[in-house]
Amino acid sequence: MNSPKDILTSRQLLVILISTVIGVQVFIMPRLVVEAAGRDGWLSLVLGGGWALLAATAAAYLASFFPRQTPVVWFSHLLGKWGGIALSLGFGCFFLFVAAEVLRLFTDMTQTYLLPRTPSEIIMITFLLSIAYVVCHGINPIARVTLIFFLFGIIPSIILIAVFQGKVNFGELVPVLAGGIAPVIRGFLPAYGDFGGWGIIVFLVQFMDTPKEAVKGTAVGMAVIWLFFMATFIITLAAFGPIETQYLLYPVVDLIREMEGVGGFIEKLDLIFLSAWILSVFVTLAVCYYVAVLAISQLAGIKNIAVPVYVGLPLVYLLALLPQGYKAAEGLVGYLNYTSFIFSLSVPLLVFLARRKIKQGGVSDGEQT
Amino acid sequence: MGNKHKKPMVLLVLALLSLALAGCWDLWEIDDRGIVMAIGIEEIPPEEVLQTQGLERQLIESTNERALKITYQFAVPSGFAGEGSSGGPAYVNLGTTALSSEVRLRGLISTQSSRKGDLTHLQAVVLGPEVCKNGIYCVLERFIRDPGVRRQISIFVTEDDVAQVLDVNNPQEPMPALYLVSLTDNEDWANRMPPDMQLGEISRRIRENAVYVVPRVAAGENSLKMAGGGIFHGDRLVGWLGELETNAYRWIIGEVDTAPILVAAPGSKGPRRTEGYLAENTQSIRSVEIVDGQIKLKVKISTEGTLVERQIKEVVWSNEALAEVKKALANRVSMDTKVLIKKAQEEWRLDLFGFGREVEKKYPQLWKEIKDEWNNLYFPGALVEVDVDVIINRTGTKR
Amino acid sequence: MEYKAKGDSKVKKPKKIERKTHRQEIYEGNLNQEQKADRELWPDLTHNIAVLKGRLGGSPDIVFHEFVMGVDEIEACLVFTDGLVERAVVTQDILRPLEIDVPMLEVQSEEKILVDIDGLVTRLRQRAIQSAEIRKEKKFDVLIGAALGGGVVLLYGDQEEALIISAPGWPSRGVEEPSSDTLIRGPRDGFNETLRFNTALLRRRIKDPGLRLESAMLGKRSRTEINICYIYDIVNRDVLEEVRKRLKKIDIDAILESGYVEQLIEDSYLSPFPQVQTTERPDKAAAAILEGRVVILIDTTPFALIVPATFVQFFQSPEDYYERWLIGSLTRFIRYIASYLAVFTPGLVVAAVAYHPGLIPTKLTLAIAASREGVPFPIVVEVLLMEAAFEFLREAGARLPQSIGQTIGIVGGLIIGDAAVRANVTSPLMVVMVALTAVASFAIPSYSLGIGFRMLRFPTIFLAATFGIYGVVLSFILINIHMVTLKTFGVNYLAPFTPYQFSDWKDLMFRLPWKTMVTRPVYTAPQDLVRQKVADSEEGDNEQS
Repeated sequence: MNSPKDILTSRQLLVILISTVIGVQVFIMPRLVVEAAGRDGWLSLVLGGGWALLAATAAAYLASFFPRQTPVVWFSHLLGKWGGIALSLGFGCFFLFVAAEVLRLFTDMTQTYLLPRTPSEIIMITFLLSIAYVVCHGINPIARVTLIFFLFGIIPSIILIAVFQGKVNFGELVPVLAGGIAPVIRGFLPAYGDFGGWGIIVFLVQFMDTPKEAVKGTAVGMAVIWLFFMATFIITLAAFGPIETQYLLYPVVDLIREMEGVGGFIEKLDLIFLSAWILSVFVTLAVCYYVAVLAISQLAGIKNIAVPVYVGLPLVYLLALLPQGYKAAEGLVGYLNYTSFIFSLSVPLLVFLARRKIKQGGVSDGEQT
Repeated sequence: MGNKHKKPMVLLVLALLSLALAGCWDLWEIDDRGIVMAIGIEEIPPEEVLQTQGLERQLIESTNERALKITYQFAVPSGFAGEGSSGGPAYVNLGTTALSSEVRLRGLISTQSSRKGDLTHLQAVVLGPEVCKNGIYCVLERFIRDPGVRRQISIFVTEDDVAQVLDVNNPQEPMPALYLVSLTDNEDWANRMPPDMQLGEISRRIRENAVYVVPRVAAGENSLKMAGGGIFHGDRLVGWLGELETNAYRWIIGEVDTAPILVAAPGSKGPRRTEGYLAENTQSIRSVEIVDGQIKLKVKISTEGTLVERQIKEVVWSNEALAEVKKALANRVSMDTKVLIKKAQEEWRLDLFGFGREVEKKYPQLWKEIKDEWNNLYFPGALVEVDVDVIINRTGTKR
Repeated sequence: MEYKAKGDSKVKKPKKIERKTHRQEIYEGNLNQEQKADRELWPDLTHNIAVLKGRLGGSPDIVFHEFVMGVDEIEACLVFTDGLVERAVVTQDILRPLEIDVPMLEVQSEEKILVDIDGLVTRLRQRAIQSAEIRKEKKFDVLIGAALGGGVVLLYGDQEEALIISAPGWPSRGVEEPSSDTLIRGPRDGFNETLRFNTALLRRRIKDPGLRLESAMLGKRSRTEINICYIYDIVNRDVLEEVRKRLKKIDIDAILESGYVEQLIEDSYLSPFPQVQTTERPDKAAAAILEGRVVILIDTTPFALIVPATFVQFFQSPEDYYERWLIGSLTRFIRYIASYLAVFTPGLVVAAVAYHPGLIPTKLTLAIAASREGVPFPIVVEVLLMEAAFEFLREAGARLPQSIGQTIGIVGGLIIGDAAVRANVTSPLMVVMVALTAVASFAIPSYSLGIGFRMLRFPTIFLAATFGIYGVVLSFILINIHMVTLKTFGVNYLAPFTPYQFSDWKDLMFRLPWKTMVTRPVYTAPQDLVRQKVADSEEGDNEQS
């Protein structure tokens, strides 16, 4: 009954997925999308989120062909030895960069709103050490901690945004498509990029006893995230209008700070919100870092993950310190969005390859659908 | 599991605890903070600037920056909380003169205050007339950018001396800053106050180069009066909205919570007798239409409320009398609003009411062509239609 | 210990050797037998008595009562510890039958009863001795153990076996209301220091034949008896096996309280959280047994141990189940809130006051600032001072006799608190906060968890003093990671909260009505899940997840 080591249930997968993808990018998301797409950003989000949902579900479907096999193995199976190694390495590095990026954005935001004079190195190191503490225990404690922080961090955030009681004017959404379809397309990549964390699915399905359930879990999770991002975007736009949103560094934080609390009962909700926010970033960073370390250590054939976890810490730390100023840090977001998009394009190809392999009779690894 | 991970955990806890001894970079105790409750900003007239000497004079001349007089209102907590017991004042106002770059001002005020100024509890900014006329963006930018300052702080304009506004001794509310803010809460009872204008909103309006109204305060002996407002276009003050004009303004933009309407009682003779009506539930819909190539601005106001006063003795209402009163009330509102719109079209030539946005919503392509000339040309030339519908729900305790 | 020679040479080795020889002297002083003499009885009564006397020393409380019995005047000897046996049993039920009744019986029936030991046992059991428990034994160690543990040893003739008649009668408290775990509604009886009473209290509640007690001796010198209690067909076998294994590993000189055992079998000794639940209440222990847990009863202490003990268990009080479910749910929910208050309030106050006054309402900020006006210490120091003062008061009050303890409370709480505020040493806000956290920490039914929480508040204060709210959240994160990785006897400490076990949430934050509590907690993995059969539902739908 007590879950043995390294087993994920589909509910846990769902919670991890939601907590990870709703990371830090959500705080700058409305700005990035509005910058590209203006008022019609929500259409970009419909497209980007839809594409991410498809990609993630397809990835879960793909991974479910290979129960309890590491992606490193089945990548090679599908793409040949070197192709597999390249893809695994790609995923590992991608998530390493994502972790660094998340850490950097987190530090910048913490310094902006909470600790302006505390050195960013100190914030990073304390946060990274806490993350290493949970990551080196493996996926199960991560999943459990995620559930707790989901309850304490992410659900309150979602509720806060859902019961937003500021001045909102949903008239800001019209006119629709005043500038034609072009801005919507331009907004696609930044919109899609906010969902970029779906890639963890590829590496998490291997821990599931019943990988078939992962497909449903992923689809539900992505749909929840999709709705949440849409709601966040629309409320932000309705509260600030498209022009001001572009100028706000963290529009969603400003949104929360505009809130008067439920019926003006609580004057300021920042303290609750910022605490909840730290928890949600913690989960994002922990899962991204775990997946990065997992991919690389599985590639290198290292069984005990604890050593790579501690070895990787300085790497993330240095990568996070690398960009000079927030502008450069955000520049990295663009590159990561591209990379994630390329991954999403590779998924259909892999699904095709997998199905062909199975049809050819090479069913030795993996059950038939 | 368990044991093998204990060491890192212990090390981590130890490291964190040792940081506690070394760190505390952001420690700033509450009793070392001079809590700034309000800031008054006024521009120093050029003749006074000429009196400054030395480096400051040089700086003003070389940078061509505006010289400002800033009044900081610091909270004195003991005076605030110890009502009666200590009897000291709840606030202290410190003033300083400097250039418009406020960042330097924060340091400046610390030369006078016993505690370093902390803006996180800033409640209100009061702007003098001169600084408004010359543009407020460069003055407010510093607050908009500061993560510690909220977007909700209220902005006021005054035609009086800013320092005087911030130095009102009101026994009800010992702190002028809180007094100011508490006044904005009354806008649902007093329709002559424009809607509260907050820093975030202003930031947005400035960026959108919109027209908006900022509440105006006037200082009395021991009270403040908030009524009417300053009309801003972009970041500049372009005119003043009178008290009754504000009333009409609120009718048009649909921000009426409770508003009185007074009309002459039908059939009253001799000295004028009035009917008092309190609008309690009001909707106002602005829309635009293009009729024969002409832009037509439409305002549809519908209101429900109570008759609160009737100064003639015929107490019993007949249906006819009610209909008559209703008509008179509707006329009154539509007249007031029409007058104001006309004034906006002809005198200010500014779209105070956001009709432009309605055009954008309905005719996005047209809007692209006309938006640059909207305030100057198209808005003043537009037709106006006001439609008011009044419903009397209750008549108080009398028939 | 008694052989410790004072003023000996400071070198360790010779001392040890000397001790050993000294001990051997006592053992072998009166006899020149081979080594076996130490282990088993010899067919020689005088010799056996001599061995026992030699081993037990001349302690005055150990009685060697020599007498003759039967018509054949067989020599016999009773060995027992005075004060640990019921005197009336010894005289009325053992000596009298042996010295008077049996000879008379022999005369009447003309049958030798006392010839061989088997005959003796049967006869004694049937006719003579009215003691419940009679055993044959030939090992000296066991005999000595019995004689020291409330038994009467009957050495008899030149037999190679002796009888152990249990006649415990040591000084003992009666069954009283427990002083910890007090309830408003619920049974008033509590465990006491006598193991057998405690097992009886359990049996009285669970008359199921499945309730098994396993006895074991712990402590080389204390020879404390412990009983592992469980219900055979409910208990989680893995946990039971783990308990046996861990108890077997214990090799200590004495077990003076259940705390010894608790700390020797718990999973992580570094954790501030208790991983074994203790209780003085038999009803609580019985409830645990019925949930498939294992209860360890230990002689000489009224505190029983319950394993596995998960985090949520420490928030449960028997009263939650005795009161109606709305009341039970409410009180339990309050306890969870109290736990957060107890750990995080001081940290949050420090963070808010010293780091982020901007994030709390303006009027509250002004009120705090006003209350801190004139206080000479930084807020961190003030908080630490006040928390320390509270801990002093609590400790002082706890160790003093009850009447003085109350005085301490009044002096400490009222006089010092009030005077400190008047003297501007601390602010009224701080007094309120300390009182709040103290009360909150006592609102948790488990004393040990309450202390754990109070301990955790200090690192939280330090982190808050370094990083403000970020520090508080960091502390929350670290505490949670720790709890998530913690296991107690193979069960996750935070179960059923996480790993998520929704069917167990009926008895987690809230206690749902009894009618809905159809199954036992799933996370303890009992063999039999069904707790009750609800009339209108089939058994099948109880199984879920």
